[in-house]
Amino acid sequence: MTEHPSVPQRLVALAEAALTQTRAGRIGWRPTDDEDAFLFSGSKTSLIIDRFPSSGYFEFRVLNERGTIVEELTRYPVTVDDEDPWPDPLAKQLRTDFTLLSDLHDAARRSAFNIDELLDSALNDIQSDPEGLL
Amino acid sequence: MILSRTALTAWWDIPWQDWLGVAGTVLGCIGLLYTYFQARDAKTAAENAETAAQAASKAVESTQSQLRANMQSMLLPGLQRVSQELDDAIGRGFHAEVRASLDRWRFQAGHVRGLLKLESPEPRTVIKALQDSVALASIATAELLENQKPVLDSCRQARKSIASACDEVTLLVGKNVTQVPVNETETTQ
Repeated sequence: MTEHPSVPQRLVALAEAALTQTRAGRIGWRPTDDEDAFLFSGSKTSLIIDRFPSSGYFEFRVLNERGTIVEELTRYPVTVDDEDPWPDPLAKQLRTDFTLLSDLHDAARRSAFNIDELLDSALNDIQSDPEGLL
Repeated sequence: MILSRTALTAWWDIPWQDWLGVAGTVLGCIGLLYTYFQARDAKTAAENAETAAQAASKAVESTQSQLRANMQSMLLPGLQRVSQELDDAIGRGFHAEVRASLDRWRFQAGHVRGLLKLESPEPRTVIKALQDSVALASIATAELLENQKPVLDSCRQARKSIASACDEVTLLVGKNVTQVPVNETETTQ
C-alpha cells in the first residue's frame, strides 16, 4: 500500500516548488496590504508567504477560490547544535523547513518589488554614466 | 464431356427443376440489388442524421454561450457596485463597512468565476485577476481586524486588484456579448 505524504510534507514540497519557480523567474509574487506578506495566485488557489518580525517566524498559507485559508505551515526558528553527534532529527527538519520558508519569503519579496531589476538598473546607471547622475 | 452435352441440350429440353435454379439466381440478383439500394438509402439517412445532430449540437453550444454571456453581463453591474461601495466605505473610513464590502466582493467574484469556468478556452487572465482580488480581500480583512492602521492603508492592494479584476471582467463580457453565435454566422453566409 502506498503511503501518502502528510499535509505538512506536501506543504514543504509545495514551498520548495514555489521557491524553485520563483528563482527561475517563472512565477511572480505581488505585495499585499500586510507589508510582510506576499501573494502568488494561480487559477484555483493562492499562496501567501508571511513573516512575523516580532516573533521571528514564517507562515506559508494556501487559500482556496473564496480566499479562505485552507492550509498553513508555520515554522519558528530552531537552534540545532551541529557539533552534537546525535542531533534531534525533528529539530533538524524544522530548521530546514524554517530556512526554506525564509528563502521563499526573500525570493517572493524580490519578485514583488522587482528588486533585482531595480538593482541592475541602479548598477547600470552608476557604471555607465556616473557624472550624469550628479 | 458433360459440358459439351449440356451445351447441346435445347432450352425446351431443360427440366423444370433446372429452371427453378435459373429463376433463383435471377431473384438472388434482384434481392442483392434491392439490398444495395436499401443500404445506400440507410447510409444517406444516417449521414443526414449526423449532420442534423452536429447542427443541433452547434446550436445548443451557441445558445449556451449566449446564455453565459447574458448571465455574465447581469453579474457585472453587481461586481462594479461592490467595487464602488468599497471605495465609498474607504472614503468614509468605516472599518465595518469596508470589511462588509470586501466580503461581498469575495461572494460576487465567486459567482463570476463559476460562470467563467464554463468558458472554452478558460479565460486565465480574468480568473487569475479574480483569484488575486479575493486573496487580497481576505488579507485586507485580516489587516482591518488585527491592526490599527488607517482604512486605506489596510486595503490599498485589495482595492487596486478589485478595480483591475473589474476591468478584466468588463472586457471579457464586452467581447462575449458582442460575439455573433456560430449558427447565426452560418445562416447569413
